[in-house]
Amino acid sequence: MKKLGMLFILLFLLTGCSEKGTRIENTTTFNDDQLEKTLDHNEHVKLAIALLHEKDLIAGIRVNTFSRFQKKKIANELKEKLEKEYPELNITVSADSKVLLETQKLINKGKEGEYHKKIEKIKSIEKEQT
Amino acid sequence: MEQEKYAHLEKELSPKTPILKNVIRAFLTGGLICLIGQFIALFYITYFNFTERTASNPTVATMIFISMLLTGFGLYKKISQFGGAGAAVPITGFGNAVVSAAIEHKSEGYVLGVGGNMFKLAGSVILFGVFSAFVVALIKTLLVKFGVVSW
Repeated sequence: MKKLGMLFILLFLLTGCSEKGTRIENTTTFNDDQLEKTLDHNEHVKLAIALLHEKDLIAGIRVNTFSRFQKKKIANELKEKLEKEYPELNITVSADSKVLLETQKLINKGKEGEYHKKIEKIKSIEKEQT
Repeated sequence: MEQEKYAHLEKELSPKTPILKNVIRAFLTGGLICLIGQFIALFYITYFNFTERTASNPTVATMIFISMLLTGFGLYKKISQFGGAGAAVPITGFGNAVVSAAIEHKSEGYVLGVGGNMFKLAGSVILFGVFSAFVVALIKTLLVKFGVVSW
């Protein structure tokens, strides 16, 4: 019985780490196929939430556990790649979980009027150093 | 010769240190403290305007505050006795060192007793912490100047 319990706990712990996916919310006329492809094809990214609104593209990513040491570099590389693909947009890519969390909250709320204000806020929080 | 004999005798008579047991206990205690810290960091990230990078400061402050309370109530002593290095190495051990020294010397007065002795233990932590941070920053600055790594 004890062993069975341990097995369940172990299974529960192991399955907790396997979420994967890409979620994109687009309120602009830009084509987001390329964005989805770029985020999906990066081997380090396990979860990505992106929001396109007016002239802004904000993407929060979560990287694989063992890539976490390079998460800043991965986010920068993604940003550079996206800047080439969408030269007209202001692009923010961050591996910080705050950005992921806030972007998700914003999309779930679904109030388009608030998007611009909130995006600016996320950007300013992300830039803070201390 | 006498000294050697004594050392030999002492080695034979003193109980063996249960290294493995101590290591496991330290691992569990330290891990638990860090887990609590992680939850506090997550709390600050979720409910306040902190990012993963900036949440570390309030988290550290909260952890020190908790350990100071626990020290005052006499509970951190028990944790330290169980966990050893696991309770001393995280930042909570620092808070414990400050407050326990302050409590110990309270009877000598607030200025010369508490004020003078508060950092008796923690003073060396601050000194060597600042010094090693300086050395590491110096090395990193040089590496950045020579283009080996970036900030």
